[in-house]
Amino acid sequence: MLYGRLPQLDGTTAPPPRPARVSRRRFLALGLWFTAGSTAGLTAHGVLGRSGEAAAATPASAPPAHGSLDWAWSMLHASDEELLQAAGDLERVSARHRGESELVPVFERLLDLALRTPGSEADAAAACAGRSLLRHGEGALVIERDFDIAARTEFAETKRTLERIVRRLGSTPLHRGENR
Amino acid sequence: MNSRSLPSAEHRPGTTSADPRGPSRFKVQPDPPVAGQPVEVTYSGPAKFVEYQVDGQPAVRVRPGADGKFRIDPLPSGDELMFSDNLGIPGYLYREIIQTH
Repeated sequence: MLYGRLPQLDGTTAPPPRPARVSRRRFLALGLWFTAGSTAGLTAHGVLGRSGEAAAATPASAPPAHGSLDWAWSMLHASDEELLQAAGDLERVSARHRGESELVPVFERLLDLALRTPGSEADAAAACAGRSLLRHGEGALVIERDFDIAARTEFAETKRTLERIVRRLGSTPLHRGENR
Repeated sequence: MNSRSLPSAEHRPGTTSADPRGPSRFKVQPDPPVAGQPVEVTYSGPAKFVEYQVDGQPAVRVRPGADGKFRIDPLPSGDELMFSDNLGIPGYLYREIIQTH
């Protein structure tokens, strides 16, 4: 034992002075507290991995602003319903970022989805996708992929959009579609 | 979405959307809108603020009046006019702008 009984002046022995130390339980608690605090702090400041609530609260992991270019790109992985409902605002993004070819896959997915979905909202969404693809120089793609489908549906707005695209690009695809 | 029946857009030159999709939350007067002339817009939806955008220009945020109306005076020149309340496809309206010259 480190601290043995020490001889006293009166010849007796006294218990050794109590060392100033932290109990094992308190030491473990302090260690856990420090570790947890440090990890949370480093995570919140982006030093460590970006998991947990602290990371979610930082701007870097916040979802992109609605209507921004990043938001439009993120719509490629959105649910079908979310993508359909976002069609109009996606079109507004396409108008602001004409020629942004990275957006083409988003509108391709939107067009495919809208054309296989019944209802007037899907018609409007398909028209948004068609006009947007035209802005990005993909009018021919719209005609090639979807003219026949749209011609068999009740999608009046989509039909007019396609006719507009055809007028812009030339009459050949329209005539080919009509003759099928 | 309410069940108002709107006249068909088939016979209106320059109009490419809204009516066949069902009632839109936006109505514009005149329809189609004409560049350089005022446009009276009526919004019938839950949003306090709505936006309109001409071509690729920045969106303009507007708070409709108590009756849902607001005015764009004059409508800037451009090819396309888009309205949105950021609440899905029923809250979106697209119109081609008629050019006077």
